[in-house]
Amino acid sequence: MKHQKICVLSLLLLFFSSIGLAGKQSLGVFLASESNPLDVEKALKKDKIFSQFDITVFAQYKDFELAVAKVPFDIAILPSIYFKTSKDKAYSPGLQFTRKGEMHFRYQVFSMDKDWDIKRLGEGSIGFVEEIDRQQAKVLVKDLLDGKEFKRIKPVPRSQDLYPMLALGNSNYIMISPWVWESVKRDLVAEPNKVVTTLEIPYPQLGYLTKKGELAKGLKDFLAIGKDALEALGFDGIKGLEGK
Amino acid sequence: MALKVSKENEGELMRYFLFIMLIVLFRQPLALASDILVFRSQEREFSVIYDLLKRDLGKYSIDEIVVNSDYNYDKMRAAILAERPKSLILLDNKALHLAKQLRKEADTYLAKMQGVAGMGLNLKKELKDDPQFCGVAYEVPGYTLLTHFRKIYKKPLENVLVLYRKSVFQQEIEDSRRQLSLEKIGLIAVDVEAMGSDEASLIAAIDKGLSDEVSGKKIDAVWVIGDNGLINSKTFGNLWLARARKFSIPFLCGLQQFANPKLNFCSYAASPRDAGIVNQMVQMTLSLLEDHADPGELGVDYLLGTDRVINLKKIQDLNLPVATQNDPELKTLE
Repeated sequence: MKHQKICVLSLLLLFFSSIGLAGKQSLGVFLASESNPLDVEKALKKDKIFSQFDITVFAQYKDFELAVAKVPFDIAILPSIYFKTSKDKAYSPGLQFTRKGEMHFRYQVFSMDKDWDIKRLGEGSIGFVEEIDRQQAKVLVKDLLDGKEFKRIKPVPRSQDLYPMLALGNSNYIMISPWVWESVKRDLVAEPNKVVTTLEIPYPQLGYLTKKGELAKGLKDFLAIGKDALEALGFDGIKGLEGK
Repeated sequence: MALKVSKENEGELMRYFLFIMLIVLFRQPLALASDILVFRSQEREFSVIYDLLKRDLGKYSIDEIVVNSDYNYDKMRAAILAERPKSLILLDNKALHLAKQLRKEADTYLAKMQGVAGMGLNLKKELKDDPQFCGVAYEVPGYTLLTHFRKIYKKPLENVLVLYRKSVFQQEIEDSRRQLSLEKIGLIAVDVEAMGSDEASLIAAIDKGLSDEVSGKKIDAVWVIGDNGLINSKTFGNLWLARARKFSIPFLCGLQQFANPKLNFCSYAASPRDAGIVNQMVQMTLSLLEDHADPGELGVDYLLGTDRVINLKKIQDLNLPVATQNDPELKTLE
């Protein structure tokens, strides 16, 4: 009788864990922005959609990767390139964040010295905020610049370190997202040279752990994310991806 | 009980024995080999840096050697030959100085050994035009210190005084002047060795140079370089501390200890952030190992990440207007 009870309980636990009802679901957030992770976490916890989630917000790609390697999050909010390029495709994108109705943005490439112009990209080094694995980042930068390559890439873990990299001469160019640039230029007197803008890339996305495919069904609930939570993440809208 | 082995099994057992011996023999060098060998000082802060390096270079095998006061070149040479790393990471000047001797070796592997240096003083000068070692400077750049302070300071920061020794910090001062001019911050740099580099001349030059007005220009702040040629037992109390108490302008530095309210010397400090310097060293190491970059071309990068503190007591003593909320990462020392 005792063994039967244990068997039944184990089966129930297995069933509930498979449909994601055993304990809270987890949400991992990594966005290459200047926002304080604790502030973002607080804002998300106040939102009714996320109130049932264990939420962790990461300031750096590396920290997110280390955490995921131990215990993957059920749901993740990540740069769109992560979903596209991560080796194991551990997460599948489901929803698209937007700004002013736009689903895409372009990075801007700046140099400090006018001699480092578009003709010299191949001779120079470029700094950018680390959002994906280093080797994949090389391919991504090339793709975003329509096949133009840099001599060297120099990823930085935090967006706060990106502009100083250019100002101090650690790199000849930087590739910066419009939202980080907005924040940087508030404190800036110098006027760096805008060298080129990249091809379009989707804004960050919300996705689910690929191996828990059943989570995809619940994604539509996230379309009701409140304004404050969206704002904390740096967006003003969210919509479904085509076919999701 | 004695184990009886038949003649038939004897040959088989011998083959097993030889097989195990081969595994043991080949396993030995593999167990010792490291892709990256880190030479570091024994102090705790270096151990913290090593742990972070190990975490961030996780896909490579990495080992550490502690460089004590009696550690010498022969020990370093033997360690490198035993582990045959692909690259070195040298934490502190002693490790770097020993590693530089490798180039005199006839063995090409040793002579061409390359690596990344960090947490050493004045690496910009130490590694100028070095073909085999690149690095990350440990001093907080004037640009970083002053532009971060300007974010929270509610008064103009147009003329900043810095005293320096040209023989040591010429390049940093030239770079800082250029970088800061783009931010419309004027650097008034006084070379205290201009009248001689003996102790008496230096003290006289610091006494004369450390002023809140230079050539008719009002000084808005003083950037204090952590150089023991400038700040030492002969000059600290009488000159630096006395002037910091006399002038009504902030003294800014790259050493957190100087902003301790008990000392009450500097109003603000930005010091190297461990995770930041580790990331820079990791990226350089990956450039060497994965991109086969030329260390001479990588050169020495300026430090990027800093931890920033404000000495609230000093700020209040001087009645300086600050908006600490403008830097969310700023820590207040009271």
